[in-house]
Amino acid sequence: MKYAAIIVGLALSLPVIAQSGGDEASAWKALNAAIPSNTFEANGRITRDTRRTDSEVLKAVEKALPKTRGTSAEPVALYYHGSYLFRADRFQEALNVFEDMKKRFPDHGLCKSAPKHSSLVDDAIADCRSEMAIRAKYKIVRLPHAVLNDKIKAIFHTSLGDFEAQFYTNVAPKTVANFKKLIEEGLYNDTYFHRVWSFRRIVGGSPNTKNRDRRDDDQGTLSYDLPLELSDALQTAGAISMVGLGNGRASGCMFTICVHDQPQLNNTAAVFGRVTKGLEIVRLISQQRTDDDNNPYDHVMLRSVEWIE
Amino acid sequence: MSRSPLFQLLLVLAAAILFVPSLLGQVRKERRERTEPTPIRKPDDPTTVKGTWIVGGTRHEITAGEFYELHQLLQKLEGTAQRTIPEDAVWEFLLSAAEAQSFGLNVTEGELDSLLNRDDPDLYEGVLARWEAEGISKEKGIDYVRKRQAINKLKNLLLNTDRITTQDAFDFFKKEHLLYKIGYLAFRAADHIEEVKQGDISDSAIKKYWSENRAVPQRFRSPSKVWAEFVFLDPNTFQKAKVGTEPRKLTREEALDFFHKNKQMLMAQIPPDKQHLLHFDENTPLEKVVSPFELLRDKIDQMLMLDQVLTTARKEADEKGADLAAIAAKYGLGYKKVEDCDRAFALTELRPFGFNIFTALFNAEVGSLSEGILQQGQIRYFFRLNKKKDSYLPSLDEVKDQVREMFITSKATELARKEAYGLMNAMNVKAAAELAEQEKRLTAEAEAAAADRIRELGLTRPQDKNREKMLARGRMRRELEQAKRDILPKYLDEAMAEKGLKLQETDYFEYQMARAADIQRAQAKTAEEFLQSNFYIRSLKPGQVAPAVIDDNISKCFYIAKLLDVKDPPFESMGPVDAMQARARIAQLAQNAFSRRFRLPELRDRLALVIKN
Repeated sequence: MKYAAIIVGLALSLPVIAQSGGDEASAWKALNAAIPSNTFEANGRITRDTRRTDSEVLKAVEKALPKTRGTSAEPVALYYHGSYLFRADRFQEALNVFEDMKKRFPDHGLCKSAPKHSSLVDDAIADCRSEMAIRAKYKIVRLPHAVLNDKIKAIFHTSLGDFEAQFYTNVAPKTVANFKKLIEEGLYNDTYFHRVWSFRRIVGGSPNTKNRDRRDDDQGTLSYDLPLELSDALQTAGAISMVGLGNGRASGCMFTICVHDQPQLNNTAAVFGRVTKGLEIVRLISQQRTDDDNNPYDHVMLRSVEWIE
Repeated sequence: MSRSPLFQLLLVLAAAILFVPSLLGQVRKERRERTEPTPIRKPDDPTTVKGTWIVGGTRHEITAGEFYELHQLLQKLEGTAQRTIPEDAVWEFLLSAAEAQSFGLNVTEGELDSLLNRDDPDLYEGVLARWEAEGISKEKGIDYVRKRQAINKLKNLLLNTDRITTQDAFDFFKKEHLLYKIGYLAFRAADHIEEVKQGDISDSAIKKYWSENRAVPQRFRSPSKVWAEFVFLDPNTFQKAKVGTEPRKLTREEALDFFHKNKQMLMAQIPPDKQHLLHFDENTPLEKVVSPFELLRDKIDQMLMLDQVLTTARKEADEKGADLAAIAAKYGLGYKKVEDCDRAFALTELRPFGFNIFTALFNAEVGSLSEGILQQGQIRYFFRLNKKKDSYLPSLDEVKDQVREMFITSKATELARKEAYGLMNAMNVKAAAELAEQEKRLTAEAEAAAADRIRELGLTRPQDKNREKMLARGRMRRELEQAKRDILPKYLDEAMAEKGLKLQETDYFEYQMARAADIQRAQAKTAEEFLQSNFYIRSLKPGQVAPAVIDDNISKCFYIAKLLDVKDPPFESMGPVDAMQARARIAQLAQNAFSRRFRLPELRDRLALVIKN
């Protein structure tokens, strides 16, 4: 009887123990391990911790949440949870989390407004409502997330040195496949970068450069063009894209590589790869002396391109 | 004393060496004096309240004594002998830590263990010993570490949880894509052509126009031209050149001679990955020591052999009537032909052969080859001049009709310009008269503001005072400019009513897209296209008139423009790429501004800080 009572008592208290979470130390430990840990230097420079994606952090925070229950870490964990739900486009769930925080922790610093400023949670609730309202009114299209495929790469051998690139096969499969085909056929061998803008970008891949007559370099096209496979990869330093033709299509062979941010290209050319090694060679190519049409006086040759898979 | 120039120069140099460093030192000292923070002194009465702030709905305060102690602690832990921790930094530490605490960002003992290496007794003892040497107690040291870590947690919290909404993205996007509507008056040269034709366009008027305007005859000058052919060897393509079935063996002396004559060009061809072989020291084994000549030997042999090919080709080309294209093809060399080529064309097309190639061509004898093999950079070549034509300036009689047309257009343009500028100047004069009182008042205010600022900053150097005065005057001028733009529309309406003119209107257009579409002035076919890309438009508020006439010298038209309306673009015009770009930009700006959140001005505002003394 005595033992039965003990067993029943334990069984009844288990849910309570489970609900009360861990102690303070382990609660904060679990939360700290879940969230990104950025570096802040004295000169104001910030290095963001990008080891995990937002969805990975969300999963980690959700895993840590039960351990924080009933501790001082819980409101902070909930705030993180709501914010990462927002980032995952789960606005209603995020709103629920923030409103629940306000009910349960009205006196917490995260929920309490300052004399002239609203609280962080109030701002978060307003953002959720704004986002939900706008999405109810308009169709919001999100571009697919580009991820570099580290199993394939191309090595460009130029007369100024070599550089390497990897490609976004998940969002630009047709463009990457076409690029691979042209490399394997040797189309880019013995061509040159026929237009360069100092410290901004370079253009190459025109088969017309093989005749060494610069007048028709820009007209180097194939019998086909390519669709624009847009993604969230932006035209920043190292971005490789096929030259845009301005009508929602891209050149079948000519490509451009950014040395520095080129936001004006974001709508007209789709990034399908990125220079991963040797960007300084690309920068050097961009610095060649040119005429008024940005044609370099001295050709920088693209001797060959190797495709490695 | 000697008055020789050399002696005087030496005197000046000596003065510079003696006085300039001390002047610079004075400048540096003044700069240091101005930027170094005031040292914090021990308070006479440590119990007085130094400052109060509100965080988490609760009012906090700190006494002067506590503030001083905190400063001393931070000076020992973060300052150096050369760097005094300023008072602002103490407030920033205090308030950021208070804010972190209000957000419940606790630092556990476990975290402190890690930060202080408490699991390693030696390291921990070292930390405590350092503190003790500085006169910092263990409790105060740990409290500092706890607060610093709490501040880091606060920074992490804010950075990790930043949100960018679609509305934020659209607010950013629309700033760059506003829609503008312009009203304009166009004063066209074409409208005055008939008027000019009714006037004096006699031969004597044309002759006077021709002789008094030197640019006019030059418009008709035809430039010198050449017809030529080039045969060249480009090292980038020399793999294709045919060396010959039985290449002659080259001697080392021949190769060395070629190396010495072309050292600069050849040395530039050593590949970057082989450059390191040229550097050696006493530890380098003898067999690994290489000379540039050895590294380049193969290239030299190849170039020499190909040079011989070029020489052989030139010998064949020297025969009268030789077909250079065929000779170049026979030996696998490059070939280029230019016809009707002027200097401008040569500068682009013949650039590989040197900047002065046109002069060399023009001075050559027609029908003959250039002297020997020429070299420009890596390219070796010879040319044949087939024909040349001197520059020609026609007489007035030969081009009289065209000059008459130019004369008429020029007069008509002048009339249109006078009309436009006359109207604008009249408006500006009236506006200036109306604003005269305001200008006097603003000038006086600017001078007073500058004097206040000079006093406040304690500036003593003339250049610093002048800079403040210039800044104040600049602000005044901008305010006056805006006031002028606000009243110009009234005078434009009056002038239009008086002259019976009416504004023409454009449709709504997007300024940014007009720029992005490169509607250059030379390509603008309509007034709308031309005005859409004009920078004045963006600087105006709705209802304002551009303060200057906008000239279109290509179409010979002069505009007075008024911005009628600006409106937001439709939400649907923001595509997914635009939204993505806007978000990236907002995130970057937020990150750049992040540290300002922890600076005193923002902390003071957010936490209602009041500093008593």
